[in-house]
Amino acid sequence: MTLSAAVLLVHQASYFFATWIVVFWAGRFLAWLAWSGMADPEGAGRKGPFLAQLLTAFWFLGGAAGKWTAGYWAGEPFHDLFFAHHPYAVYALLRAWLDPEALRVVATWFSRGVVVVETAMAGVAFLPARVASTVSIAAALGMWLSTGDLYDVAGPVIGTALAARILAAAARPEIAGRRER
Amino acid sequence: MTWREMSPVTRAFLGLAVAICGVRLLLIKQYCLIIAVAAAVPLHDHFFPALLRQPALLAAAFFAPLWTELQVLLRPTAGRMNGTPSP
Repeated sequence: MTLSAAVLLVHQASYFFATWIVVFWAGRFLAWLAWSGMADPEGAGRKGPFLAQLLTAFWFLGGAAGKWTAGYWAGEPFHDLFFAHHPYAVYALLRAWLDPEALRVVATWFSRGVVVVETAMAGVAFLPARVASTVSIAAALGMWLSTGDLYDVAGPVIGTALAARILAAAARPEIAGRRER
Repeated sequence: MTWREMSPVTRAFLGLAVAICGVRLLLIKQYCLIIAVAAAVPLHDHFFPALLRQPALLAAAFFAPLWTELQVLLRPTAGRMNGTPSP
């Protein structure tokens, strides 16, 4: 999976899909679970959620870094790519409801919101596991709902957050048991 | 084996594998189109070496993991998860 994602990332007809950068790292996390996690389930419960949170933070920070430009702060790419032309229902409705000036203002503030939220998501690595999982799923769902065709990036992010949640839930009784002793 | 009987590591693995496999399944139509276009109208961007312009490589890289993903999802043994033969 990781190797194929690496090939898809460098192939001429596929390099522009952000999907494969997420799948590449998610594949490495799966490999870690299959080898180290299966051999040491207790260790997986302790380290797994943090690794998953680091990955999520890395993905969002990568997305944010590409948007730290004056153009994104002014909302131009979002306006031109989505608000002005995209056929997705949300943008079609906004075009029907708002005049072009108001649409540009909404695009600007939406774009700023995306830049701020994606940058702030880097902090997910420092949150408690369950909170981090909830925040990651909410951010990924928001990304998916705001641009319907981003399911390919949101899916693996949600899967990673769920994996972290499962591992954290399994580690909790062990930690509680150790404290009682 | 049911979901509750599985170890947390297996459940975490499956949670993420389902998400990735689901995305791959949803992308099949789009990738079939991309592969068909790449085969019918070859682009010669010299930034990419000849191998990385091959539609066959694209098809292999996209479809090959689907087989292992489905195998793991259908029967998640340790061997299938880490790619080694099960006893």
